[in-house]
Formats: sequence, C-alpha cells, structure tokens
Amino acid sequence: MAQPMLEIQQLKLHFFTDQGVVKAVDGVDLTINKGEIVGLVGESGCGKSVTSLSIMGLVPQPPGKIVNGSILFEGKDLVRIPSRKMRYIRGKEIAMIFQEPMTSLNPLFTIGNQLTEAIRTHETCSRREAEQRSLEMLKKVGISREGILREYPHQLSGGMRQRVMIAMAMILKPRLLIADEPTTALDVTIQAQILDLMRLLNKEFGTSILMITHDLGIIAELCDRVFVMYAGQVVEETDRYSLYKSPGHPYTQGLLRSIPGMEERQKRLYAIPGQVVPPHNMPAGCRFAPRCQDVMERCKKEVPPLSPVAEGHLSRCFLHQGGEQEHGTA
Amino acid sequence: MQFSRTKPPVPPNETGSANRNSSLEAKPLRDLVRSFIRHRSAVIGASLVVIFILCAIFAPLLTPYEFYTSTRETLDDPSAAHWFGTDDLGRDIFTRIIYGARISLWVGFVAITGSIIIGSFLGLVAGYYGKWQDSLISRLFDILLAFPGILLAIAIVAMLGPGLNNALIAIAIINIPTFGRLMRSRVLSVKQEDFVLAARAIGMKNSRILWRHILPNCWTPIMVQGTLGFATAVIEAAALGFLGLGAQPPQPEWGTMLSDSREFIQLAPWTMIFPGLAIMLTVLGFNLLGDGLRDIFDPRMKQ
Repeated sequence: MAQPMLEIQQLKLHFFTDQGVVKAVDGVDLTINKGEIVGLVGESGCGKSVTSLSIMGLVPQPPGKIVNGSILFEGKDLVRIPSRKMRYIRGKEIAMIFQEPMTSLNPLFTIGNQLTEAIRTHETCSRREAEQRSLEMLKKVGISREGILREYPHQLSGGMRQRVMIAMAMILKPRLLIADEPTTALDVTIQAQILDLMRLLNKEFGTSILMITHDLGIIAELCDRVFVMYAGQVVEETDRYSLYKSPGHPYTQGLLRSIPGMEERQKRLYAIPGQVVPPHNMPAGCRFAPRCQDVMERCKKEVPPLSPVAEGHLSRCFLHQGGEQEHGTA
Repeated sequence: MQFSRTKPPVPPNETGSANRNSSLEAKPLRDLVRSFIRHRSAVIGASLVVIFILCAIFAPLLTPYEFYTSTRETLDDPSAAHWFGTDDLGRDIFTRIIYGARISLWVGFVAITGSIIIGSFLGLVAGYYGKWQDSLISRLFDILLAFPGILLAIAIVAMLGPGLNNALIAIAIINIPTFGRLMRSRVLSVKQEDFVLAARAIGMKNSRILWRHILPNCWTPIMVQGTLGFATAVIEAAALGFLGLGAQPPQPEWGTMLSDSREFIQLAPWTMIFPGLAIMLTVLGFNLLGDGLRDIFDPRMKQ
C-alpha cells in the first residue's frame, strides 16, 4: 500500500474581501503518495493555485485565511506550524515552480548566483561547491552550455528559464515538487521536453509531483492520479485511465467533451453551458448544478458528498450515490 | 556615401572584449554608456556637474587668492586680475564661487544621501511589511509633506540654530518623504513580482528577500530622483544661506554671497550675477542629468 506523503484534509481557505467572503478553497481533500505524480485539474479560478500556495504557506494573509482543515506533510501539520519552521520546509522539503518562467528569475542576478543562493539558503557549503552542484543540476535538466552560470535571465529563452527554475527547485532534492502550470507559457515542443524532464526527475529522485494544470493532455501524459476541482471543491478523484474511460462527474464529462476530437468533424466546438459560479455567491447545493445537464431537484438543495464510483474513484455527484444506494439495498 | 571614405562600420559586437566568445553576451554597462552619450542634454548636464565637481576639488589650484582674505580693492570690476570682480570686502568673487562649489556640492551630496538612506529605509519597511508599519510611516510622510519644504527647513534650522550643518540636516529631513514615497510605491510593485514569490518558495528569509530581490530592483528611480533632488538641495541650501540661516560668514556660500550683494546691486552687479549664475548652472546641470538618466533608464525609450 502506498504511503501518503501529503494529506490535505477538509481544507477551507477563504479570502475576506470588501466584496464579501470568497471561499477559494472550500473543503478540499487531497492526498499524494510517495513517488507519485498527481494531477490537479480545473478551470481558471477554481482554486487549484490557491490550494498549492496554501501547501507552501504562501497565501497572503490577510486577506486569505485558512479557516478549517489540515495539511499533513509527513506527519507535520503545515497549517499549524510556526512560520519560522515553515521556512525550512519550503525549498528543502517542498519546492515549487511557477507558470511564468519569464518573470520568475530576478533580472539583476546571474543564473549561477541565483542557483547557489538557493542551495545556501538551506545548507552551508562553499561557493565553489555550490557552483559545482548547480552545474550538475543544470546538466540534469538539459542545460550544459558553458558559462551558463555567468549568464543573466534575459539571455535565456522561456524554455531555458523554466529549466533553470526546475533546476532551482530540484537542487535540494525536495520530496515534493509542486508545479503550478509549468508549461502553460511555453511552446508545445518545449512543453513536451519539460514534461519528459519532470517524469525523469520523478524517477531519478523519487520526488512526488503535484501537477497543477488545466490541460487534460498533460494529465494523460504524466499523472498517476487526478483530482478535478470545480469552484473550490474537489469534484472527482480517480486514476488517469478511468478519468478518460468513465468520468463520473458531469463536470469532468463536460471537460472531456470540450476537447476537440480528431475523428469527428464538428461544426462548433463543445462548451459547457453557462458560467462558473461567482465566488461570493455560491449556490446552496451542488456548485455545478446551474450548468449541469443531469441536474435533479436534490442537487439544488444539498451539497453532494464525494462518494465512491468504483475502486479508487470518487465523485461528488448524487448520480453515483443514488446508484450505490440501489446497489446497497438490492 | 559618407562612410566610404573612412573605415567601414564595425558591427558593435565585434569591437571590444574579444576574449568573450558568445555574441549574445550582455553588455549592460556599455549599452548604458552608449545611450547616455547619445542623450545630448544628459551629456550637457553631466558636463556642468563635472565642471563644478572639478572646481570644488581643485579650488586651491585654480586661483591665487584665498576666499577669506580681504583686500583694499573693494567692489572692483571684473578684470584680468579678478575675473568675476571683487566684493565689498575686496575678496575675489571667482575664488569665492569656486570654494562655494565645495559647500554647495557637499551640502547637496550629504543631505541627499541622508534623505535617500532614511527615506528608502522607511519606504522599504512601509511597502514590504504594510499593515500598521505602512500606516505609521505614510502618515509621517504626509505630515512632512503638509509643510512647504523651505518653511519646514527654516523651522528646523530655527530650532537647531543657524549654521551649515544644521541647514544640511534640515534639507535632509524635508527631502525624506520624496524618496520614502518613491521607494514605497516601487516596493509595492516589485513585491508582486514572480521572482519574489519564487524566492519565498525556496524558503528565503524575509530580510534576505528585501535586500537581495526587492531593494536592487528599486534603485533606478531612486537614483534618478536623487540626481534631481541634488538640484533642489542646492537651491534650498542657497535659500537658507540667503536668509542667513545656512552657511555663516566668512564661508563662501553662494546664497550668502547673493544676500551680501543686495546692497550693491546697482553699484556692482557682478557681486550678484556670478553667484546667481553659479547656482543656476549647478541646478540646471543636475536637472538635465536627472532628466537624462530617467530617459535612459526607461525601457520604453530604448532603441
């Protein structure tokens, strides 16, 4: 049985703004096992980035506040850990890479300078040794250009910078890497290279990866398990095969239908009807109910719980709960 | 063709530093120097500033007179012996102006450096930590800005007693909010940059992030404002001198000289013209230089 390395339990993170309380993350459960690549999918604003930032303890507070739940990382609750100690976990145990490689490096310092800085934030070692390790790590991420350590960020392309960011995140061999849409800002060809690189690092160092994306293609390519988020809640948890073969939640089904197919010629591309619910005006029942094709009366009143569809496959929908009950009573 | 007679133009990258192999090599300093030289008013401003600095440094070598020795040749016209004439005590005005450059530049430099250090520090704290620190510091700046600058300076000098050093302190204090607010606004925007978040994500300490990631990215506007502030400081020093609150006789301060010349304006206009010109040219120099630097550092002006 796989050991959980990170367990998020009933995490609720709300932003207290002048317009009202925005429930950005509203009761998320998420587990990542050792050496696993887990995907977190959802459209913009569904809370996936906030979830990842709250693991790192980087949500600006105020206005953000964790009102409930825990984030257990190897037994330690990151929600309740003092910020002084959290600093030792960031970078050393859990590292993160961001969406925008173009702006994630300080323009005023050389690559070598920033990489060695990352090492020396957590370890004491000589400059020479830090540079040596930086070079090795850069080689691992596929940059072996001579003199790279003395170059400035503006001399590198976006793909190169993202590799540098990955090198910087991986240089201390963290146990968990959070990648917040690491390929969104990159070309498709570079995307594939970066994904290969992440798979390689996962194999080589045994680093677990939480891959945040809105690209279902990346999930299919890379992830062992997937969490689908909608409006601050996890609506589906499954492995990548059943995500495609038998998606449980109508939202997931809609997402999958929204991918233009190669086979059939369509006049119009499919889109899930309606809009994402406004964050400070959530419906009382299921949050997807206003857009759902299979909506029932019950959906508008009660929030459906995450319930099993199959082994290791959970879905937040009454359709399955109903099915299970029938199964149970029969 | 204009170039055909001379050497063909060499591509810029192949000129200097042949030992660097990569043609992509950044030469930020050289680019900066080049765009500086191309900026005419910046060059004029810099020349004026350099002239005054050289005067200040080499004052004893440029003139045979002492700035404090009186002679019997009072209120002499400008002549070969006294280029700018003499004042009512028979002192050579050229000499006094050259020595006066020392005072003005010193006051400008120390006062502005002081305001930059204190203002930047306060602005940095206000912008980075926000919350009550921000409210406290911002209100402090508001209070300082509520007074007209020179009036506040006069009040401070009146409190501390007249004299060059107290004038300098007053000028430093009244310029603090300029730099503080500039720094604060700059920090507020740099703080949002991805690389700051990235630095926090590798577990860097707050203080380290401030010094390494935020401060260096805030310097440019401070530098530009500092150059412009230098000009203001020179004027303010002269104004305080004129009012008798700054440099005290026999210190050859331009404002003091102007004030002394009031009685002789009709009899000996050179006693007023030359100190006035000196103030004007210094201020013009720093303003041109500051404006030029702002253009040069503005990425939208890059060619």
